[in-house]
Amino acid sequence: MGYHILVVDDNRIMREMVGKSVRLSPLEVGEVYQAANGAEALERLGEHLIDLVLLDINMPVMNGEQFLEKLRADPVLKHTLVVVVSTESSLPRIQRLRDLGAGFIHKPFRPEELVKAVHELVAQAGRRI
Amino acid sequence: MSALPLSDAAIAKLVEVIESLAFLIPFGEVPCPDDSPWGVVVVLPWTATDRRSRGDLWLALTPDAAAEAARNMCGLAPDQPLAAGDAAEATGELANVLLGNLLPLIHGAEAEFHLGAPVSGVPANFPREGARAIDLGGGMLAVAIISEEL
Ligand SMILES: [Mg+2]
Repeated sequence: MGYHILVVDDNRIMREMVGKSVRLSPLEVGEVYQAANGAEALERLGEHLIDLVLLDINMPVMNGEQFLEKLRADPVLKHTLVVVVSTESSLPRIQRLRDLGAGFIHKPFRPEELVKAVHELVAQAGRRI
Repeated sequence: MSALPLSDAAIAKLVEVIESLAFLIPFGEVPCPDDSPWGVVVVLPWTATDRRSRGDLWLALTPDAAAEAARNMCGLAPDQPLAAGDAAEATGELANVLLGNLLPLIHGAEAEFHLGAPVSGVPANFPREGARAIDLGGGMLAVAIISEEL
């Protein structure tokens, strides 16, 4: 089984890199889906059971912050785990993303940072439940 | 719009990004060439969310360097062919990550920006003034930032 993961990034090569990083990581990974922006990501979430979203911020159509706000307002999807994987460096914006319950890692990232962020989120979610 | 001088800290960040994201090996800084040897040039626009400033990051790679970056980022073996657009896509993401890392060095960690989508630039229009170039051993990369106060 393992986590079903959705990789959301407007750059095709970055989606492949993030997908490969999770597959090569010690995380138990099930299906890996892709979306090129926040609107596509909401569609994927409606189509598939997804445990974890790896989310870029700077994207056309619907950016990562807008997506995260919509996700947290959705009664069914609001508890989905989200790790932001972004070049974002603005401390106020990073804090807003954390306030929306997302983990954060900075591009360029090392695969072990991604694993650590996922484990921290899972532990936090475990405590909340 | 005027060229923003890039500090040594900015160049150190550039080196870190090309090593860790594109797995290219930088061999130090070289003068930005007079001719235009670039194979892929991308322009990435940004705007401060307070609308006080905007600018463009220009990133140029020679054809071999762009292909190697794309190959490395896609995890392709040397004999596997690149798909159409891979070199541009890889350069676009390098520009995106680079700009995201450079803006706080220039404007501080509290400032917020909107980064646009990377677009193809005309190699001959690459802004040499203020640009800094890195030797990649057989290939080369150059970066420049131009900006204006609004
Ligand atoms: Mg992006």
